[in-house]
Amino acid sequence: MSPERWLAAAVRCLPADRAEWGAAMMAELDEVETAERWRFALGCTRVALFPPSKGGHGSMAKGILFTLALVAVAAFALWRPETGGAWLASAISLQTWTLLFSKVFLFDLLVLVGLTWSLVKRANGVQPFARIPVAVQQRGRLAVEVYFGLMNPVLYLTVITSGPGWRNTKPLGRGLDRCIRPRRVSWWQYGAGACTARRFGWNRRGLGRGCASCCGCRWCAWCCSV
Amino acid sequence: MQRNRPPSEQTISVLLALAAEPSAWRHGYDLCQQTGLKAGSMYPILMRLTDRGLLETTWETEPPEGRPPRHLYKPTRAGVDLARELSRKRSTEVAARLRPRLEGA
Repeated sequence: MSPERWLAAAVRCLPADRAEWGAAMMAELDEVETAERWRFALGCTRVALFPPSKGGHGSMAKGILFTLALVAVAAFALWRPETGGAWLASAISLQTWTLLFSKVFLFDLLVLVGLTWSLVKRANGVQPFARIPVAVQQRGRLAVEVYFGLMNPVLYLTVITSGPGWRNTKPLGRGLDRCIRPRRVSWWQYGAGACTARRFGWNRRGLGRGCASCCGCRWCAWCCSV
Repeated sequence: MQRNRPPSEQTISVLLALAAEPSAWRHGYDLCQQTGLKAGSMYPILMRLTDRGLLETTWETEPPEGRPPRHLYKPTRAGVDLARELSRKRSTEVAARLRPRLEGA
């Protein structure tokens, strides 16, 4: 694998509004001295996977990495219950939680399959959602980001830390217990709303999105604590 | 609302390097070599400066045969003004830091 081919694959992950920068990096790589080429290509790869956000939209790679990390932690806790996942195992063994957890997990998997498919398409130089209007694409991307970045963690945490199974298992510790118990999540719902508003700007649009994510988190917490 | 976060040291160094010759078009790799920044730091800075209207970009019109056109960068009027202001601020800070030592000598 040459640095050119590596970088060519990486820059295809750039969003359409940053595609020009991918071409700039590719052209610049041609001028880089041989000894520096791999270092230059790897530096550019980082930028291609995590470009600075423009107009409030972050990179898709961040959302995927975040979810993979979340799934890895949950999988580890389930695989080794004695190392701290006993409460998780007991919580999801209850039928209602199992149903909800499995639905959420299935939905996550479907979204991840969709994202992987779109990444593969992009890597092959095809725009995956070319027929869908740009405005719908942008809203879809925002919905996926809010779902993976904000609602999903709330959902997982409330599912795994609530229910009768919680009382029968070892507590997580006084501080953590207070923070993630479903009826006590309001402060980080507001935090999630504030983070969203900060990211999209303290204007009408950003505040609207902040309120939406706050309500989304609240809804998730309510669903899980009924 | 645009956030008015003060520019980082790396951003300042890129801006000053560009403003040293405000009318010259510069390449990304040249800027990396001049400022000592890696590509992974340089490109996000160039992207943000362009987004904020501090940098103008264009493509090489007549690239040598067999080579793709390179992206070129030049500071805008606003970029040059900001670079001057940052440079003035930096020299004032250096002078303020050196004054007690000079007075003590």
